[in-house]
Parts: sequence; structure tokens; C-alpha cells
Amino acid sequence: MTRTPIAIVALVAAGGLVLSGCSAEKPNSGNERRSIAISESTPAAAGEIENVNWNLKYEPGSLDPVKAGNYAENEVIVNLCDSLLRQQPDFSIGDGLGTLTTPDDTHFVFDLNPDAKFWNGNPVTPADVVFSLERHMIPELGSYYGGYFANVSSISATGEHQVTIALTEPDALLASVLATPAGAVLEQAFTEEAGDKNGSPSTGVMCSGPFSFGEWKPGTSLTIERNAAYWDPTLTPKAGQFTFSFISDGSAFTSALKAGDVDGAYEVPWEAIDQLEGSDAGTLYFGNSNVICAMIVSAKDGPMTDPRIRRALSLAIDREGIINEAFNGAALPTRAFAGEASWASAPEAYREGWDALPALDQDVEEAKRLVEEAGSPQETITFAYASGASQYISTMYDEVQRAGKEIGLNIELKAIPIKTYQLLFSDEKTREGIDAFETDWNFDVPDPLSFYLNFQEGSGTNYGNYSNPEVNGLLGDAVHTLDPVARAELVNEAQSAIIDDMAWIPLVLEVNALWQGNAITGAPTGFVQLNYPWAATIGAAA
Amino acid sequence: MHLLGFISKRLLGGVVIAAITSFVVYAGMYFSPTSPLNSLVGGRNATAEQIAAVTKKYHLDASLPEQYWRWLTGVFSGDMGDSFIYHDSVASIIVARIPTTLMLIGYASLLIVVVGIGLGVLSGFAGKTIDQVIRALFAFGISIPGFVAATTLIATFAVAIPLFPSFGAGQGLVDRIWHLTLPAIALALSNIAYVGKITRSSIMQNRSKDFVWAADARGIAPATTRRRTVLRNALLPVFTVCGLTIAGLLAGSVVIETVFSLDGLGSLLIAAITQKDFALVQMISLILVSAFVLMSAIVDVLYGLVDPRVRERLIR
Repeated sequence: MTRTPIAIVALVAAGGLVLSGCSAEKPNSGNERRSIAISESTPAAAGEIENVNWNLKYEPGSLDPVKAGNYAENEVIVNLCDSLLRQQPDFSIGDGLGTLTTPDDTHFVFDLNPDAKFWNGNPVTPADVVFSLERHMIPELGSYYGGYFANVSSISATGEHQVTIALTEPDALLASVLATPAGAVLEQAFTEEAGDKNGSPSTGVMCSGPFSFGEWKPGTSLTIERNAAYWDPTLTPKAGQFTFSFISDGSAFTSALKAGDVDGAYEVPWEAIDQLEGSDAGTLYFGNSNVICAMIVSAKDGPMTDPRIRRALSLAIDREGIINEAFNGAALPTRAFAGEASWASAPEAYREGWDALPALDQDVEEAKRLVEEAGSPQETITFAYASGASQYISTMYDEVQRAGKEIGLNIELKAIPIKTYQLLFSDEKTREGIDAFETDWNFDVPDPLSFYLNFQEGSGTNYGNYSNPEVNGLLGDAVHTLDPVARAELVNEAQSAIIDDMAWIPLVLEVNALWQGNAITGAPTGFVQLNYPWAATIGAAA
Repeated sequence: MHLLGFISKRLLGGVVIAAITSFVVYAGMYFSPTSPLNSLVGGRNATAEQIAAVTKKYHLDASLPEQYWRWLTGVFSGDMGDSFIYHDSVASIIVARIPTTLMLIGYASLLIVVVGIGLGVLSGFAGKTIDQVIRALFAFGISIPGFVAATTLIATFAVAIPLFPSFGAGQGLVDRIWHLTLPAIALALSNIAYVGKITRSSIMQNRSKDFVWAADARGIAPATTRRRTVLRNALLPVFTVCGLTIAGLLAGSVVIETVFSLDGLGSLLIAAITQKDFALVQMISLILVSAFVLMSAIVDVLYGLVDPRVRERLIR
């Protein structure tokens, strides 16, 4: 009798996997290269709308910025909590709650907008700012952004509406960090009172953003309501409220969009693209994104530690095929890891660096030559993939395994259940015996440097212990270089070396897929939904 | 009096089972290789300092007996603990999800009992043609997995002919019933066919028993024989099957909950297990075990009502 519940658990788990494994649609099987149009924006809203039903691909764990850092959490938080700086729909970073001046390389001075008020009417004070930022530095709170505050020596109120951050050494990423939910300001009194329950369904948060926390029914829905007294009149919400649903199953989600039960969503699954493009219930938009689909190399020994083998595998992969078959055409060819959507601080310099890189075209003969040169290793190479996830993952892995086989590599695939898969990123034990695994990596901070720091020796995300003294030096210098163009040049050089070594293997650059039902319009198309209050501009369609 | 004794005995048994289960599940979670740290510190960015601080705060390095004791004493003082995933009290999270799962299972059970037994009885007593049609339907129904039924129902009755919503559990009684109709049908479909099939074959078996010949020979009206003798005898195994089937709906509901985005207890349990959310897993497991114990007790009592031999044993 005591075994019964465990059996239920196993059955239940098996049922869930079978379900998600079979619910995906069959990918497009045409051979011609599919192309998509990248939109800069959607038509502006024509008027106000009472309620917008919006889907998140899973239910947020918390609305507290220190417990955020992932898609669904940030997608809601950015509409509730203003950050000190704000990433704009064109990816550039502008003023948020504050205006930044840097009297020298180690002091960031923020002048707060004196009109800014929390939803309860209290003004946003320097004390609230200091309190909110310092929370990321309390290890017990386990903030996702904690590491980005490593160079901060003090945060203090230096005027009636002024806060100054002093650094131990120059930090080129900090301004961008403060344009994410890491720079979000919460009311100190409310947050202290809420304690551990801050950001939870029963408690919510107290911030100053264009929407206020409404009601969160765990497992069912989360509503946010218009803040009619919003301090920034350019972003007064056009919607009375947003009701978020949490449909995670791809086909259920597609049905809900087609039936009009959901008005809009970001991160539309690739498998749904064919169906949605043919639907008259709304419009599918594609915007630029910094999300890079890549194989993370985590091997500590064996063939994958040899750059020639990594280069060979990269050359053998048919990336066009992956774009067509796995992404239904909704992805872009790439040359490196940091695409256009992350270049806003120095667009021309980054463009030059990108153009100087070789296109990652398929060249099987050269790949075979490299494998031979490396001594045609026969050891098993293990690639982990998320089973029970979307169809595009399996399609992509089929191609990677095929490419490996073609050039004589012995690649084995290891299935890891989708819910455990994310542990690969944080748990060393889970990564044991795994030589590479796939990621759809979104940049925490909208700056190429934030991604390339993954390759610095000692970085917690340098999963394969990649070590290149040249790269270490360049990245170390870039972190201390506040001038965007000078920094871009350093990053470009590091990027070139990392690509030459194929430290990780970039596959394709993803696009930001947005669905707007016929009733609504006005959402930004670029991948800014984790940093910008995107819901504020959505209203009724004409 | 003996019925009360019987029930209290079953209750006591249930408490013992729950106590053992709670420890076994806790131990299972404790020894499973993943760590709840993933949902407590910042994923791929976690620093060593954060990991140490959070481990200390949540006593993640404590031994199994110590951790279990901490949980157990908490429960007896009315604190079921906080969820690692939601950073909120377990009680408030579960309470919000129970109505949906309960209603879904209740609705599906009703369909299974009424439609399943109804069709089975009809098939068992009706003429050859009707019997054949119903048997074909049973064969069809049994072969359709829940998630196939669910996606087909959504595509047909939510998208193509928008009679029902494609997801969500609704609010208020009428709205909830409307929202849960497609999920309940999807969940019940193969079980209706299964229960119907069992009912039919049980009736067939009993119809050819000696006591039916004897009754016929004594000139008792066939309708009375059917109701009093055949049906009663035939329904005994059907009740057992219904009880087990309905208890099994708890497991099947996870799939349906996912497809219709109902987020009841089942999908919550999956999330809780993978993220090693101890307090949440404990409470949901206990609810599932209690439901099982309750279900089998109800079946036993029903047995008594139908079968005089059992009833006598209970009442005497």
C-alpha cells in the first residue's frame, strides 16, 4: 500500500511526458529556404481597451525582482516595476526612474524623476532605491542578478532625489544591468513588511510602474491593472487591465490564439508558425532578438575538448536545414553569438566585427579533413537534449547527430526530461558525462559583452572550462572600458577568437515571435519584453 | 454499529498509511539527485556565496530525520510550510487548485458512472443490433488516449465550432461546468468505454447463470429477474472497477489539465517534484493518498448496499 503514491507519481510523470512529446505539430517539410519579414514595430493602438488576455509560457514563480531573471517573471515585472534606466523598443538604453551621469569611471550618479510615485501615492525616494538595489547583494535572497553587483562598493543617497553607486573598479555592464529588472525599485516599507512573501501570489509587490498588481490566482490567472496616475505620461497604459494565462502546451496555446480566447503573446512556439500564419484571427510578427540557439560545450575531456573537432562539427551542420525544418523558417543565419539586437551601444563597430567573421556555411569536406587531422577519435560524444520539449529540439538534434555521423564522430543523444533540463545550467552533477547541450540563451543584459563573459576563465557559466589567455585579456579589458566603441573593438576581437576556437557552437539566431489578435495592437516587436513595459503601448486596434 | 466500526477502522488504517507515505515520499525526495537550490537561487548565475547562504537559510544540508522532523512538527503546529517555487504558504497554493481538480474528476466520474454503466446495461439487455453498435463504440472509445481526445475536442468544439472555451477552468458554478465539459469528456471517454464493456460482459455472464434459468422456470417475470438478480450480481465487479477507475482519474487528470491549461493538483505535483519543493510534494501526496483511501472505503460501503451477504457482515 505504501508504494501506491510513488506509482501514481511515476504514472503522472510519464503521462505528462507522453503528452508534451506528442502534442507538437509536424515541422514544415518543404525544401525551399523560407524567409520571414522582420518588423520594426506593430501599428500603434487606435484607442483604449478594457482588458487584454495575454499568455505567458509558464506561471511566474514570483514577482519579486530578486527572484526573477526568467521569461514569464520578467515579462510581468517590467510592467509593474520601473528600473533606474530603461531599454527602449529600439534596444537602446535611456532614462528610467533616473537619469545617469558618470563623473568618473567608478561613480554612477542617478538623478531620480521627482514626479515618480508608487501605486499607493508615496514618492519614490533615494532610500527606496538604495534598499532595492542592495537586496541583490544579500546572498540569502539568492538574486539572479547578484553576480552583476560584484564591483559595487556602496550605494548611497546623495541628494533629495539622487543616488550614487560607487564601484571598486570600472564596470562597463552596470548601466545595462540597471535597465533590467535588476534595477527595479520597490517601496522599502511594503517590501520589508512583506518579508519572504514579497512577490508571492498572496502579497504581490509595491512599485511605481504603468500597471499595478491586481490579483494572482495560483494556477489560473494573474491580472495587472492600469496605473492611471503613472508618472511618465508617454507610457500611460491604453489597456484597463491585462489578464495573464499560463498555457504551456504548444497545441493548446495555438488553439487558444486561433479561437480568440487569448489576444496576444510573445515567444510563440515555432511549431505553431504555419498554423498561425494561415489564421485570420490575428497577425504574427517577427522582430529582432538576441536569443541565440547554440550548443554549449561542457566537455572536460574527450574529443569535444579539441577545437578541431568542434570546428569540424560546426562545419558539418546544415544550418539552413535547421532554420527551415526546426524553426519553420523563423530564425536567421548567424556568424557568432551576439546578434544585432545586442549592438545598440555601438551599432557600427559591432556590425564591422560581425561582417569580418566568416559565414558559417556547411563544408563537409573540410570538416572531414579536420576530424582526420585530429586523429579520427572514436570515443562516444554525449549530447543532452530536453525530452518532452518542443518538436524543434528533436529536429535540431537529429541534424546535429547526422552531421556528426557524416564526418565520422560517434555522437550519442541523452534525453533529459524538460523539467530537469534547466538544472544543466546550474548543477555540475547533472552535467557529468555530458559533452554538449543545447541552449536558447537570452542575454541577461542587452550587451554583447554580457554573453562573451561566459568564456572568461573562472566564470560560473564557462561550463567546459574554456581557457584562452588572449580572450581572458580582451574580456578583462572590455569590462573596464566604459567607452562603447572602444569596448566594442575589444569584444569583437574576443568574439573572433572564440568563434575560431568554436568554444561553443552557434546554430541560428532566433527571432522574436509576437502574436496580436485582431482586437489589439501596439506591442513592440523587438526582444525587449523582459526589460521594457511593453504592455503599456498595447490598446485597441482600429 | 458495525458499519461505524468498519468506517473508523478504515479511517485509522488511512491515517497509518498517510503517516508511512509522508515519510517514504519525503525520503524519496531527499535522496533524489536534484536540488531545490535551482528555484531558490539565480539559476545559471548562482554564486558560491549565494548557494551557501540559501542552503543555510532553508536547512538544505540538514540530515533526513532532522528535516522530516522539522516538517512534521510544523504540520502539527498548523504550519504546512512554504513552497520553494511560489515563495508562498503551501496551504494557500493548494487550496486554490483543489476545486478545479475536484470538479474535473467529479464531472468525469459522473459521466463514467452514468454513461458507462448506462450503455453497458443497454448493450447487455438490448437486441443484437444495438449491442453491436454499442460494442463498436466501446472499442473505439477504449482505443483513444486522453490527450488525443483532448486535442481533437479542442480543435472541433473550441476552434472550428466555438461552443466551448479552449482553456481555463472558469469561475462560478455554471461557468466552471461550461469550461470543464470538454476536459471531463476527454478524461472520461476511454473510461466510459472500459466501464461499459465490463458492465456488459458481467451482465452477459450472469444472464447465463443457473439461477436465471431457475427463476425463469419458476415463472418469475423476466424484467424482475433482470433487475433483482442479474443486474445486482452483475454490478458488483462494476463497482470495484468504477472505484479503481475513478481513483485512477487523479493520474489521468494531469494530462488533461496540461492540454486544457487547468493547472490543478496534478500539474502542480509534477512541477513540485522536479524542483524538489518538499512541502508542496508532501501535501499533494497526502491529498492523493487520502483520496485513494476514501475511494476504496466508499466502494466497500457500496458493495454492502448492493450485496446482502456483505451487508450482513458489516451490520452484524
